[in-house]
Amino acid sequence: MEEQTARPFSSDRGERGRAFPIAVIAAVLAALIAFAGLTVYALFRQREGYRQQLENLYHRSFYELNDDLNNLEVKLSKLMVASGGVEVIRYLNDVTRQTDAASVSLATLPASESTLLKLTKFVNQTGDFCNSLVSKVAEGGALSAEDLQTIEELYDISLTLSNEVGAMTEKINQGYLFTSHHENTLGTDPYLDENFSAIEDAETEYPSMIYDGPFSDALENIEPKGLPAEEVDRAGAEQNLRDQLAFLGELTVEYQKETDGLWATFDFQVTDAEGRSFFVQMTKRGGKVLLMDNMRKLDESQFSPEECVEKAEAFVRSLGFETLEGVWVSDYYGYAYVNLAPVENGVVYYPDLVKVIVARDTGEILGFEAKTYYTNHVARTLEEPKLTRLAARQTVFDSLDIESEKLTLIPLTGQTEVLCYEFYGTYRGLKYFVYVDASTGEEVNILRVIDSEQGSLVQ
Amino acid sequence: MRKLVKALSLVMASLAVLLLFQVAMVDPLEAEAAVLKSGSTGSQVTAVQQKLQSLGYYTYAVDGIYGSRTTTAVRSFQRDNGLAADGIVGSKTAAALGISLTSSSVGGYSSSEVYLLAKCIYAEARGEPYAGKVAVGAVILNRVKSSKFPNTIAGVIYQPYAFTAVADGQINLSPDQSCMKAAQDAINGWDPSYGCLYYFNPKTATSSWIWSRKQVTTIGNHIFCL
Repeated sequence: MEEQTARPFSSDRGERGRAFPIAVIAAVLAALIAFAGLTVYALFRQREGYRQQLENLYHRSFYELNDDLNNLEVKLSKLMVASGGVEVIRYLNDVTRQTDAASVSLATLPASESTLLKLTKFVNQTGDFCNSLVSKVAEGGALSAEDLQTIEELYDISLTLSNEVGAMTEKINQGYLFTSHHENTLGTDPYLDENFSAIEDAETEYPSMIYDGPFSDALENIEPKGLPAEEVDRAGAEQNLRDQLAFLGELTVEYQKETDGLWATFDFQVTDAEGRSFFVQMTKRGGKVLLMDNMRKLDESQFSPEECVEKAEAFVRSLGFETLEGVWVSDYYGYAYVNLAPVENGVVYYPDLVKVIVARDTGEILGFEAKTYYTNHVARTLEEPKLTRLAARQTVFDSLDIESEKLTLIPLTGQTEVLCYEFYGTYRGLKYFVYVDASTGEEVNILRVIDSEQGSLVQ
Repeated sequence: MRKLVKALSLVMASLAVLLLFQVAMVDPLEAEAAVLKSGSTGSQVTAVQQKLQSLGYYTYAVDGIYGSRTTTAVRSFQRDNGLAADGIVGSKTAAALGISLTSSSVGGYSSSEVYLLAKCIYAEARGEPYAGKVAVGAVILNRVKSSKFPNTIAGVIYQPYAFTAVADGQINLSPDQSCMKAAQDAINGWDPSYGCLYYFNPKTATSSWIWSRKQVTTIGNHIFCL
């Protein structure tokens, strides 16, 4: 009897034993699949939310650009016929405000930046040009015939552009989605790229924009005025390098490569007797040392920024720059950045800046850069100042607590240079540089020193 | 049968892992906290110490290093001024001290812009030689100065799809020391590319347009062009 009951009992358990785990597995599997499905759905919803938000932002940028270009056309048209000084200034400022806005809209469109170059340039230069005219008119001058001609040409272009972008708006209005073309990878919008390319490649006559402003065409590729015209070859450059850096001692010089363009150079890696290694660039024109670079990590600072200025001055003298003196030093975690300018006949020549980096741990030179110097340095005959220093000082804000005064040549926007008296002083704890034109007594520039713990004037 | 059970268990386990992965797959954004606390150094710390010294809370050397003494002084100041006494200079404490945490400026750019520049250099060129990092920073600044591109550092960096490492989120990583230094140099005028507006990696660039630009120099993996 026991045997009979034992066998069915054990076989029951066997079958149940097999069925149980499969049922459990199937249930858990089903639950997991359901969970997966819900997760995917939730992620999909979230993605659509983000996508819509992005779509909205792009639409906004596009509509704003369209508005800005339309308004720009209207404002330029008013400028074309405005007479009278005050009104002209108002319209010039209006145009500049409009181009500022257009520039921001352009920066946020999902179009490839290569398709937006001319449009961005047009927008920026138009605003910049009008800004430069404001100073002219505010000083009592009038717009010249060339200025008026340029304004007419700018108007014609703005009309074309606002029409073309307006035409693009038609399609956008019909429910175009900027994010619909790239499902799995992201990228710029093909419709925008195609249409902006057409605008970019069109044979529009852009006027030559030479005026006094930071975006002027005149500043695009400035010839280095301080370099002689004759070029040296690679051997000549290496020889110059050895001559000019002879004060560093025994050198191993290894040629690396050439650099092309306006600042054509021969590049070398130079190692001195103590194993310090510099990257050195010698200009092809004239074989001058243009840039030196030996960046490394620093230890505890041992030298003060002022001592570093002295070291920088000694270094540039060894390189042959006789008249350079330190004018500014700023300290960045143990790296002292020193700016030096030539001082001749009591005048500080700010356009001819040389920059040197000194390590505050060992006092050695880590970097040297003379591009600004070689861009601007020419022999100059300066006019005698028409104002005395005292007279100039009296034009400065009464409450400015003046600590130092100098005669300086300063660069203004564009390529102009002006002889000025520089007054350095404080007001309400804030530090200022005020520049007064030495001929006209006009205040030409005010600079403010922000966070002077990082930088200080070399008195 | 046992094999089937084993196989199914394996499938379940991998599905479970996969799902957990999906749900947890959010890139943690590295946020830059604009606070000064123990371990911070620099000019803003000096400013804090000077302020506290003039108010009588800090009687030690002003050295620009935020250590335990500075922390104690800050706590006392916070207690006396009804602020949370945590020893950390955040926006409220900075305001009470009369210090701006963001206004430190170098070369006309704010410290947050320098940091943003450093982040972009880190994202785009962290494996490049030092001169290559500075050159990438210089390209960004050249674009700011050019009339053909947006007029701010943020505008240039965040122009949609202009920089691949910005588009894929690497811009959100924290930059290392050498990238911070390279950003600093670029802001101070160092430009190993001498005015270039573009750069590309010849091994990965597909656009024929970029190859048509005038090439000026090669540094590391990047060719720099006008």
